[in-house]
Amino acid sequence: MKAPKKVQKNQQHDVKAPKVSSKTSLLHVGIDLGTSRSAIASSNGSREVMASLVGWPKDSVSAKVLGGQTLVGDAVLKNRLALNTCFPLKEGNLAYTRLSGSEQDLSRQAGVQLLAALRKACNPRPDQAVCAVIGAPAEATRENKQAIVDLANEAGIEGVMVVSEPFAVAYALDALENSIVIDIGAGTIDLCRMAGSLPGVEDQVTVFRAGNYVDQRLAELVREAHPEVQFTSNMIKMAKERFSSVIDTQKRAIVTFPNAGRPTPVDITDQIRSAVEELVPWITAAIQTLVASFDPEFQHLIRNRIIVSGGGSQVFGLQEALEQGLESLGGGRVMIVDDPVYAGAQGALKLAQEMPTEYWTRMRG
Amino acid sequence: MKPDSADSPLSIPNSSVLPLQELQDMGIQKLRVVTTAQLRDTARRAVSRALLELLNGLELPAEQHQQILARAKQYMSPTIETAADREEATEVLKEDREVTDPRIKVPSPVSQPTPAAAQQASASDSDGPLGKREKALLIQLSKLIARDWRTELATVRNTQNTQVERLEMRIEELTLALQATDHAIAVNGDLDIDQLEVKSPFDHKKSELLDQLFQANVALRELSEAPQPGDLPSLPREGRSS
Repeated sequence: MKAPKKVQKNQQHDVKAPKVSSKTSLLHVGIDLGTSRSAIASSNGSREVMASLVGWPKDSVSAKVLGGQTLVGDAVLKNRLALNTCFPLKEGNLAYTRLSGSEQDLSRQAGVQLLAALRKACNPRPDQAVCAVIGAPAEATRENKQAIVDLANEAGIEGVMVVSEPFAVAYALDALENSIVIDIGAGTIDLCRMAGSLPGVEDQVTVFRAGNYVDQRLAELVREAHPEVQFTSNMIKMAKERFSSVIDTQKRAIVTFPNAGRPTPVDITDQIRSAVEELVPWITAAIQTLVASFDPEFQHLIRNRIIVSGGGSQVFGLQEALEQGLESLGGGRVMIVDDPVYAGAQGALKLAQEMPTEYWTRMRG
Repeated sequence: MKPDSADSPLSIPNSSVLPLQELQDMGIQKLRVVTTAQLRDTARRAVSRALLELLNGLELPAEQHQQILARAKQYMSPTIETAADREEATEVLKEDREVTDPRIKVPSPVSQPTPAAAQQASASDSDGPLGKREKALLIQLSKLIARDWRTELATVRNTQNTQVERLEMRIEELTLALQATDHAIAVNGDLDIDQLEVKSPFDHKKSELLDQLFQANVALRELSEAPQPGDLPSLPREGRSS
């Protein structure tokens, strides 16, 4: 979807970027644009991860306190009571493409601000043109890919290529043949089958139940078990990130939630385990879909090279739980990447760096 | 945490006494109370067992061999917990309770018997300090604790082993890459950086993939710039179309 002309015109004053040419030096970057958190890695060595959240001051008082500026990333979470906030991505895609009217404008502007903040985080020199490979969900629509390109251009990223997120992870790990890459994010779980070529529609599956779904289920289960305590979705998210496990361990997940204003310790071990466990059958079903439709001669190879990345891969015991789920398929081997937060961004950076300069020249904005 | 006092009945160098609340906060739900005598006895038995295992491999005169064997076997026989040991354990617990949260009650291993319990005890087997039922209960409890810990340990060990395997593989890969780089630099220090790269069997495939990715993005760009009359067909090999 193209941006409304009025918005584009206004933003031309905000962002000024040099054109890509053989005379301009390039800064290659890889971006993992996530629903909850986005990461960037650049060829100058800098890398950053931030909350995919944008906030504007609510009123003149908060504008004065915050210096009248738009906040992006984790600073929004800290000051959220004084801000109107917006998540520019929903279920892995730019949310504005599904909105209309002022909501659409706001969400679109938030998307530009997020990409501009990511660009700024990699400290490009004034003479450097930023060329980015941006990871999108495995089943992102063409409309959404176009939206990513448009917004990145507006944010001052001159050369943009969009790639499937799990493919970027596979590229980072050189797992380009006979493997399945699973990227567990907040909005989606993306699975991609690698068979030595650029993955097509039949090689990719997106599950729209991921980290945010777990948060929602966890909130429901805690509310059911402890109706007397108060909590926000952010408190639930923090508890999940701290204690998430699919294994019955002796360690208890004790959180402190207020009860009538009084901090009260609450045991939410069983609720966390139940909520996280609900994801496992969805992932194994998606793996089965990809394995079953693969060449029967090579099915055992991809079953034994399943690579899991993304923030959700840090759930304790997930590897064993998935391997147990795969037993009905004849077994399989699951590996968790060493650097799950940056694996996608690193893979995208590798793609950007290895892409011939002439290609970047042709991709100029 | 406070350092283990020297006059404590269970004084062990570099050990410390922790309040029960702190242990619970660390996730420890169950404790096994062991008396000093039991601890010594366990240590003796462990040493004796190790000695017995080593003894066959040692070249010793028969007399000395027999002496050591007899001494080791003496400590291998199980000892019976005496009333003095139990008293000692109670003392340790009392001392610990002074520094812990008063809300936490630790059941003493020797509680004052109620009349009913005394009657039951006299009715039970009288050949030892504990009745048959209590012994059976203790054995069952001990088995349960051991099983819990074994499960927990096995889980942690499996996870750690996998991580170690993964890191070892990564170290191996990096070592090979480092060796290749060192070799290339040693052969010709002025080599261009492109020539230093170790060519893998996938390199030709990678350039094909990069080309395919570029073409897909060019097509995406062209479609984005072109007027869109209705729905357009999906791009070749690039995700789902809207």
